[in-house]
Amino acid sequence: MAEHEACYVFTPDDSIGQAPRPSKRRKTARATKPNTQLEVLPFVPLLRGVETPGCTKARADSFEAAWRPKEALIDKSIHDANLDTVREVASFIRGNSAPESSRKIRTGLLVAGPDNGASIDLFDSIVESVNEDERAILINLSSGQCPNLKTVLKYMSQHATSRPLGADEDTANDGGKYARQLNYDLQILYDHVQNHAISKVIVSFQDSEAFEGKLLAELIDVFSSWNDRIPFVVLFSVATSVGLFQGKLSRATIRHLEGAEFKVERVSIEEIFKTISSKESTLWLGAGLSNLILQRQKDHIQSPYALSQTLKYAYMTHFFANPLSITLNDDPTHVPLQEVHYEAVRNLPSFRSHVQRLIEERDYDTVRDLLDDDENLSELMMNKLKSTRKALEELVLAVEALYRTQSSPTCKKSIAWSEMYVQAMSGELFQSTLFEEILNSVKKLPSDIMHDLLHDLAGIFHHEGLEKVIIDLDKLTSSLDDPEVPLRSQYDVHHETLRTTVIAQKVSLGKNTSTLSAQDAAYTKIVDRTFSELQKKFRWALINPQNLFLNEALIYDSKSPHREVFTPRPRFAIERALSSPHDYLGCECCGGAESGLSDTQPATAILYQLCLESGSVINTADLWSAFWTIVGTEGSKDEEVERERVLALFSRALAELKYMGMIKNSMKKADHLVKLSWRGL
Amino acid sequence: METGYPPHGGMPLFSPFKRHVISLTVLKQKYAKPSAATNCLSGNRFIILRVQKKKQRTSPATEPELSSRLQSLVQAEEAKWYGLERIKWEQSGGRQGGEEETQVDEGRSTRKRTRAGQPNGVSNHNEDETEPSPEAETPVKPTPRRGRPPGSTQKPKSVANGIDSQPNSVITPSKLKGKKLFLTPSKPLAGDKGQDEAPVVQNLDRSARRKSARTLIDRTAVDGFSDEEDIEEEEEEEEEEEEEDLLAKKIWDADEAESDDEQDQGEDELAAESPTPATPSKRKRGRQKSLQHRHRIFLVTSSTSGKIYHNQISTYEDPHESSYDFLHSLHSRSFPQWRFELSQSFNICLYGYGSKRKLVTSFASHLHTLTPSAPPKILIVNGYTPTLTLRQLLTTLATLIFDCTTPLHPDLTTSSSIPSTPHRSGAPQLPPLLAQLAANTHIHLLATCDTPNFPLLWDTALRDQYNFLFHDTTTIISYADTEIPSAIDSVNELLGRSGRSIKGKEGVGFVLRSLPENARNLYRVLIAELLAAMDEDGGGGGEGQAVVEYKVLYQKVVEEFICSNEMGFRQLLREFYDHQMIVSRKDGMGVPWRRKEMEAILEDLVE
Repeated sequence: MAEHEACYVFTPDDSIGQAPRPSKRRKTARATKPNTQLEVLPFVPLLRGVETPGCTKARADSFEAAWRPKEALIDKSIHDANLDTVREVASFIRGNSAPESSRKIRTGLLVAGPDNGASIDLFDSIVESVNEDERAILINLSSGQCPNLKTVLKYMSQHATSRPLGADEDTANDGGKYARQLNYDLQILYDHVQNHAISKVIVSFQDSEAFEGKLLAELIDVFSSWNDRIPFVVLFSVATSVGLFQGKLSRATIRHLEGAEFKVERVSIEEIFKTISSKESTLWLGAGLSNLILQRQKDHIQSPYALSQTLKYAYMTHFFANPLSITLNDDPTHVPLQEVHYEAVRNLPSFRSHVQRLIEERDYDTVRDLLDDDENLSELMMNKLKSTRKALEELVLAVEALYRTQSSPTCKKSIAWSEMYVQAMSGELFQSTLFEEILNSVKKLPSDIMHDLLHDLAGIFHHEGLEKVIIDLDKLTSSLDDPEVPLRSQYDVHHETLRTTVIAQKVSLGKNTSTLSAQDAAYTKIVDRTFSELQKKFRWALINPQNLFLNEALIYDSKSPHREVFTPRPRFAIERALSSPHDYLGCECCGGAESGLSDTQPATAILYQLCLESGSVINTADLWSAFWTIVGTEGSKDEEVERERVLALFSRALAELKYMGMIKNSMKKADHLVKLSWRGL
Repeated sequence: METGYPPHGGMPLFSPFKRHVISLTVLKQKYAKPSAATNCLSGNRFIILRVQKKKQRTSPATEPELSSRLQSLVQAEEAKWYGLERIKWEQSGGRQGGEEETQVDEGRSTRKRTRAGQPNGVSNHNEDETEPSPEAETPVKPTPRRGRPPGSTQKPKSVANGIDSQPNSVITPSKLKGKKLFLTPSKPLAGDKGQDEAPVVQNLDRSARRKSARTLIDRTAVDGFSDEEDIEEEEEEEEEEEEEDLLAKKIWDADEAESDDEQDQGEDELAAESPTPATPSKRKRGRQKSLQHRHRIFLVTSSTSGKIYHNQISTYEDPHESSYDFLHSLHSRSFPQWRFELSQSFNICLYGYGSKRKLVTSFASHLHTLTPSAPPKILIVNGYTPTLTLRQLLTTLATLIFDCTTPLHPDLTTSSSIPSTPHRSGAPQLPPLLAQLAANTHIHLLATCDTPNFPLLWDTALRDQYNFLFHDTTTIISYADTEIPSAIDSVNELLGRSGRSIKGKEGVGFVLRSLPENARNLYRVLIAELLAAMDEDGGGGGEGQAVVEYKVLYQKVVEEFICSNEMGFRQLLREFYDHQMIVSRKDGMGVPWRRKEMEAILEDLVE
């Protein structure tokens, strides 16, 4: 009944899925028994369903607790990023620089880069900002809605007048007035502007490049002729560059415009990534997953918003599927763990390695306690969770410190923060050449930069040795005769000169370190100390997080749902389902033949494979005979009936292939099909 | 006759009916080199391989040596079939009488060839196909040298009548179409591996494609289990008499070909009236002609099946029903996950092969059962419905939203199939609109996508708005029950027989009866002219080949006072065109009927 309607409101009674329902429920009957709780719980009980609703709820709560602050931070950074742009553009719109005589339309060109997904928000916030002290209306145009001039003008009038502007809306009056006008007459807009004392009509073009040049020219022409009555301001969101966009418009059109270019600041991927992993984290993303996310961001152009959604999904997955995520709840009143949780902990690799360590230390009693006594384990977990979290925080701080350090002028190599984070999370950063290089570059710093750097680092983490060094350095520099001239250590290139000697017609190059002044020598000592302190600090901080106890609960590093969920391969899935349906069906009948045809496979799969083997133009009769050969059981009693049966299957399969867009009718030859999809291309 | 086929040729064909052809193909390849084959076959000649199944004739074994070699080869090839294919040969073999004759003929020398013997000393073989000898079970690896560089030698130009008599062309019927068009399951032949590895490339290769098309046609021409196909027209003529009974039984392909060949119009009658649904494997030679046969063959089958289809499908029991259920239960395990994802303002997109309707519906009822007290409002949109309009969607949505009193904004879950068609044509605003809806935090969208490349349709902005999470939900349930409204219509459309077109004589009669007198007269003149044209040029056109020039027709019409000016003439033609009763070709007008139908129509009109 309703099923064949194009759209209808679903009511459970007419659902076809009702019949199998009860049996399915019974299967998970134990888990779903507290049905009332499930209503409120977004999560399902884990650990084979024995998790209590309390724990399940606790997990859901910890997800909220963990993610919401992060989300707010990310949103804020996204929002703040283009705050300046918004302000600039708003003041440009408000401004009234040009004299009345020059009837040029004020035009803002917003260079937003390739991703214009957020431009609507941008326009909205611009208008909001403009609206603070005058009345402006915004009309958003996107190329899809604007096939021709008439439609655009109609749309503009409709759009502008349909927006409720205030309480003094007098629609009845307006309606009578418009009756005599054509609906694409800008007079309507003009009247509206007059009635509501609108001071600016902002027309924004979301995807300016996609508009037809001719249409734009016409539109601008119309605008400029109405410009003396309707205060137009045009905003173009440009994805490429102003120059390219300008090429679209004729000179005559450009003459109507008075443009200004604005660069839309975008929050960088790095910024968001840093936010998610540094500030007050409860969950850290592992190296593999981070890499995956960053790679995806690089490969596909995506908005910062998309990145934040990806990160959110990581949080969601962790709390949804990891029963131990319950331990991340800082809430002191949190639900006590169940036995199964402890059992789960005892199965963790990190627990095993911990026990291994204890055994090596011959601390058998503790091991026994940990294995037998939940209390004991709980205590250990409490302590270790804290220390693990601390260690991870230190790790991120160390990455931050190292990142600062590499920004010093003597370091030639530099990598992104996120990349460094990935390396650190995989535990490779400390041994990497990059690390060495960065630390070596510290040695070459002159005293003034060193001073700044050390203060920077001290702000990032507390390290006693480092603080002492700072005090010493301050002492040294304050005793200088000329504070303007920085001290240089012996590693500094300034202290090396190249000496060329010619001996027996051979030129030999030699490096010579010039003699150091006493102060420089003292400074060199300080530099040496700094170096060793930093190294010590980093060695301590840049551990391999995989070795930490309970890292499974604190670090989320599973690629599996992410890859499928965000970068699906629908084509591959369909191809696989059709070319080897056994993979999905798991039946006994089709499994035998390795990637071959068999008569038990679904008809569409057989036909698809036959199509794959053929050329680009397929004769239907051939296809049919091949199909008949495979599916038809020759020599059955009633061949006529058999043929009909197979033909019905054949027709259905053909129709399905067509539905999926794999074949189409060939216009050139009768009864021939054109293949539209090849496998694996 | 395709000899210069790419080297990978000679794979066993997918159809067991073509077994003999295959063996001969291999045979031919074996002897493709002059040293082997042509020596034996007395020179660089044109060979006709004839395959006869029904009639057992004794064949004079002129060259015992070759004969035995051929036989062993054939057996080996058969063994391959038995071993790898698991396609039942026995039945077909049995039905065909068990014994086959392979006649290798020397075309050039024998116009007068008789059926039984080959005058030029070409060997015949008797092989017992029904019983593969046990030792034949071991598959014989084909020698890698069987192929020839594509297009090297003896590439046939066309398969028009009598072309076979070209010297130097070794006729192996159907040699490779099998391979090219349908790689048979028994692909593991070692020798062919190399070529098979890049089928895509090959397919894309233009010349290969052209060739494949040609082979296809050639195959049409020669192979098939309707045995008496022949190569030379004359031969056919000769054989016609003696084989007529057989032909009648064996359906009409042979005579059809003959009728096409203009040899015998009378035979056509027989063909058309033959009640047998077309057996696909009848092939005739001659490209154009065979194509048309095929066309008709399939037309007959599909049109008859229209009524039967529903009965058949409704009684059909899918052996994989339990597997579908298993897949369904597998997917439905993630319902809570989906719910959570939706609640976190993500939207979900389900992809994969198979109708997802049942899954979506049971997800909807899952949501209902979770909160029976305050069920979510669920709107289901069947995007595959061709008549779906934006307005319809929005009004239904609006009723949902405004129905609800508290809270102000309901949690709304929309399920929809996003199919290809409305997306591509009809409603360009639909995707942006859906995306806008989906971006609303109070509206959740669960979309299903059936086409393989759907994400390509969305740009980044759209994708951002959709904020989809993708889940592979392959169900393998046929689309035909729900998403495809009428499979038969769909197939007809696919084959270029649009549902609108009126069918055959009755349809034309019906349309003509409803038209004014002068329109009927015009059509009569048109048909008469076409028939005359056919007679003139020797009946070259089987179906719709003959044309009448526009001017000529107009002149005729004016002469007969059917219409007085060109405007009226055009109007009348327009009517016919709308009903697809005429087709325009580059040099004039034709009708999409076969000669016989035309004659019948003409008769009706004259009466």
